[in-house]
Amino acid sequence: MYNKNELAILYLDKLELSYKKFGELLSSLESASEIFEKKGQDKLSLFAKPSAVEFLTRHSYEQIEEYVTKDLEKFNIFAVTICSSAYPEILKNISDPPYVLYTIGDISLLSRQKIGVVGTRKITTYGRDVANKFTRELSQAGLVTVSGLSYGVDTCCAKSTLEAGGKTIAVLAGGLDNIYPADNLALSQKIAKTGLLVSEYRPFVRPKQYSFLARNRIISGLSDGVLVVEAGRHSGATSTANFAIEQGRELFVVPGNINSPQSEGTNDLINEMPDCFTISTSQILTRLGVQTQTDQKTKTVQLDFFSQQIVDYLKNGEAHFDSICAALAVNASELSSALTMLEIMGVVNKNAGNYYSLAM
Amino acid sequence: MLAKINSYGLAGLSGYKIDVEVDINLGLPGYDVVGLPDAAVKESKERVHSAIKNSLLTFPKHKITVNLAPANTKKEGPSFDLAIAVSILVASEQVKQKAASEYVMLGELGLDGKIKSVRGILPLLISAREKGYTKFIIPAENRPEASYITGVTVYAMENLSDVVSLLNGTKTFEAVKNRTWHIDNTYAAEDFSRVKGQHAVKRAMEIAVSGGHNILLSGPPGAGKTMLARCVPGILPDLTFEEALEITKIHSIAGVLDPDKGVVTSRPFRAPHHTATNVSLIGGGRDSKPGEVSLAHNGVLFLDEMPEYSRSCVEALRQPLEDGVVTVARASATYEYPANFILVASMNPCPCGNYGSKDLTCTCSMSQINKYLKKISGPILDRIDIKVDVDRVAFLDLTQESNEESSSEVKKRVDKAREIQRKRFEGTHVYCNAKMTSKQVKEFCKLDQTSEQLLKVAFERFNMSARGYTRILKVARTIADLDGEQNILPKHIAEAINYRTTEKN
Repeated sequence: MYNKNELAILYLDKLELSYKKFGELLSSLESASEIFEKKGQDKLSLFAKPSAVEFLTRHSYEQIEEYVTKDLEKFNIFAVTICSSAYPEILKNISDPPYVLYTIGDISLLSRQKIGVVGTRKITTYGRDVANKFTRELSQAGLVTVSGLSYGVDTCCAKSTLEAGGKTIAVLAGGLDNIYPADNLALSQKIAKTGLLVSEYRPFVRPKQYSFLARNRIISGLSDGVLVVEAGRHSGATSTANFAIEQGRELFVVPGNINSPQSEGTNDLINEMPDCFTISTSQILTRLGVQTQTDQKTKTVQLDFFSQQIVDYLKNGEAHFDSICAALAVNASELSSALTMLEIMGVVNKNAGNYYSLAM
Repeated sequence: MLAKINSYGLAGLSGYKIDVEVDINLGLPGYDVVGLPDAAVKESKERVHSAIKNSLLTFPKHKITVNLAPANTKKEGPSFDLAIAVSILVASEQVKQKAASEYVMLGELGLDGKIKSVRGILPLLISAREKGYTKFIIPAENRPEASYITGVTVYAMENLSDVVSLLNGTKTFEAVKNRTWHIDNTYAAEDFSRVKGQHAVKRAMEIAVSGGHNILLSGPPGAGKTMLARCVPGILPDLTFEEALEITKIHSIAGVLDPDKGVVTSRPFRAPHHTATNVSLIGGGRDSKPGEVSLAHNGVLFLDEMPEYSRSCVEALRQPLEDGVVTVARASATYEYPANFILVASMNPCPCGNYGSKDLTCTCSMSQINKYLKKISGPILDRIDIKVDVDRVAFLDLTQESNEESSSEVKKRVDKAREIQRKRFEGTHVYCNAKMTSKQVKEFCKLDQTSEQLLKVAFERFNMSARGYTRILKVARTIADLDGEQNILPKHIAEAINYRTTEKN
């Protein structure tokens, strides 16, 4: 299943070498599979514990293969190493590409055109609307979305991509055996069915604080462009944006309310780099050179007079249930039922605190 | 000489007959109580002795044995004092046995011979009446409670010497007169007319009360959740006499009955603090007393800031929410108390309270929020039919003069909807839509094709659970009842979906 080189890298990944040592070791070897021979093992002994070398000398190739792949098979994980053909080219050209990508799902997505969607965990109504709208439209245009499976924007991105029938990749900060945050376990299983779960950590590695930052470099590294929806100052999303700039990826930032703490980061980014200012999907698609289909179906729904009145009123912006009640002079029960109808049709969104707004 | 007097003891919500037997023997003066008495019963010796002496009667200087039969059940409390004292007087031939054995006697004695009130008079009298006893002597203070029971002759006596005069026929006393029962609706702490705006919430509460649905109010602090909840008593349907008696029984046993009223005249509104223990909420303790859920029977249990209650407390609500009764099992006894209430719960959307608010910033992390929301488990949420968001009313709205509907107008609609339900469920033990069995849901919540289609679409769109389906049907049935409609229409379904209790974030 794995060739010798791949297996060698998988074995080395189990040794818990630091990223730097791992790199030095690989460059000192002619090819990774050299560690199965005496010459390579001498080099290995300079970097790893004696027991690591001893294991290689004591066991047959088949035994080593079983040792390395046992856990992966248990969780149905497929490992893509840096010397595998499935390893995405785009990821190789970042300064610190992961040596192994542990994946569950459809690895063909790695070679598709991708857009990273990042943002705050504490999403506002506005952020949710933006995230849903952009990911829906981008995935309908054929892009694969990449996010971190965290709360907020990440969850929105994954969910609305799946709802729109698109493909999504979730990059995790720990082993794939243990989904973090656990609330998104069900979502991760859905993604695994049609999309892809990716992590640079082998199973049983728990996410650490630093691994979330490290994960962000993969999100931007895998993607052709990164969309920042809503981000606070000094947030993970702004760090992903910085990775994107370093790695030479396209950066798209959606502006936000200047009073909202969840928009400080995005507004700062736009202030520093006016080029990344993004207000529509078409901007992204043009910059990434995606052919846009002109025959975009605009859904038309037939509304009755009363519902039309509500929609017209909501065109002025989000409104509280009471104010709609007062403005249209209807009783609570009629309005409540009409609003739910509109919500089911996808015309209106119900927000926290009995506020309603038009769906984007 | 041997004497025997009838008395009654409490076991849960019903009473059982206790024979108080006294034998006076020759021998050294002494006093023994047998028949598993607790400390309060044993101490009756001193009270009875002084009471007899201070009533200018004679306490026999012989060996006295008091037996409380049946001897195998534990006897608790001081309510046998009167029966013991009279028994001693009969045995010492100061009172005639024939006259005394006609009565069931209940009461605690003071040292001066005064008869003091005891708890549980109403359930005791009711169960004694069922067994064919018609004449009672009870403490004067319990007179109001006894005045609502028909078909019995009750003498509410002030002191021991009066009892002796009554039994010996030296003085005549008037039996307790029957009182007619009246409902008291003046007790609601708040009125809907004083709550500005919040139309969606008011409507949700109207539906909740009409159909007996449990309701959860979620919103930031200061949004008016508590005030809205306190409006609920004002729109509750009128109490019937049978319901009032049921409530009074429980309140009488718990000792929380208003001694002047003697009977509960309004639906209870219980709001235990969130530090409440399992026992105080569910019932129990050494003598298996009813808890808050039973005290809220036929009324409202209000849990303000529900996630602040200990988890085991909230989980313990499962049985009463499901069955309408709570079984309190203790080493001494297992009692079943009714606990049919509407649960009104309120909660903040996050620990700091501002998550999702328009103008305030939430300082909680996402995992804190999720942890907070998870404090209320799925099974409990499953038993809450209606969930509604409450948001702060803007200052401008508060100062504006507006004409808000008063509670009494809402109550009229509630009464109408309840009347429809009463007719629908006639002959079954169900009395409101929320308590429908799955078979009844099938029978009474038939949907036409449009409604069915609507519900199906909504299901997919909002990721609703199978359990959510029945909940929505029940709520829709109530909304249709409020509308006076025979059939559930799509608009009813739509409104019901609006109050669903699912999705977070």
